[in-house]
Amino acid sequence: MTALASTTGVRRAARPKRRSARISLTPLVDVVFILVIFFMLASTFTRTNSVELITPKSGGAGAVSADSLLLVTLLGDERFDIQGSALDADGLKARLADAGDRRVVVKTADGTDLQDVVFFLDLSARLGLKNIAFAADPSHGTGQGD
Amino acid sequence: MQRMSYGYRKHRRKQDGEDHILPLINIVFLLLSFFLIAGQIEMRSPVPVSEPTSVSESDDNTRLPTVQIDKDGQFLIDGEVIDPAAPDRLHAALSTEEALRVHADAAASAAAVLGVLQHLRAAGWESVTLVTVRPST
Repeated sequence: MTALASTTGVRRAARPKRRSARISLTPLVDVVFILVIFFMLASTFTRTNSVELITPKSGGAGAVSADSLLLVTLLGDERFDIQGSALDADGLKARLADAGDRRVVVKTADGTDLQDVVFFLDLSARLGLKNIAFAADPSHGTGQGD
Repeated sequence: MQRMSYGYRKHRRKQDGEDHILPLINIVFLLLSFFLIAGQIEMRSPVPVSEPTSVSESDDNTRLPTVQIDKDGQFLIDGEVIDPAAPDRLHAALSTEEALRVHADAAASAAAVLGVLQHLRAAGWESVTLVTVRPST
């Protein structure tokens, strides 16, 4: 009798333990799938970088001698003009390389887009030029930059 | 010996339903961790902007307040067209103390972008960061 009671007692104790150990995985999989779909839709993989720009200072820079300036006009599509001579990217690189300490002033022709400006900034950054200014268009606001 | 192996097989068949799911869960967890680590969650920009390509390697701080210039040269804050010549509108939307991030389209005209930068200077921002992407090659 006592032996029988003890064996049934063991059986009863063992049964609920086995049941609670078997957690169904299906809800877990559902949640994980939802998380996967969320991260797939919400995340972007394009890495962006940045270029630091100093905004144009308002007011003129005072008198500067023409010798200390190198005027570059961006014509768009990787074409440039320095003092009347049309240049491509390689020609511009050669001219900017001997610019020395001269301040580079950049004008943008009509039809020049931002990509042309960034291309020029990249090129001059590669040559180590620091002293670059964009000629401001007086029709935009009061700040006539340098 | 034979009995033991039979017993093992029987045990497997009992749990078959969930044993099949385990490799699936492994793969799904792998995908989950891939998207968590490789992707970055970002606000969708209200207007489509294709950034200019640049070899610049400076990091882009996407947490900075951002203004946009679309391909027609329009100036937008939070997807709303704003006249950059009105400094009070700018100050209402953004604080001057913080750096500003300019998210401009590569096809926007240079004159329009430079004009916006002049207005930003007049409104108190001395420097801005321009968002670029690395060339894909």
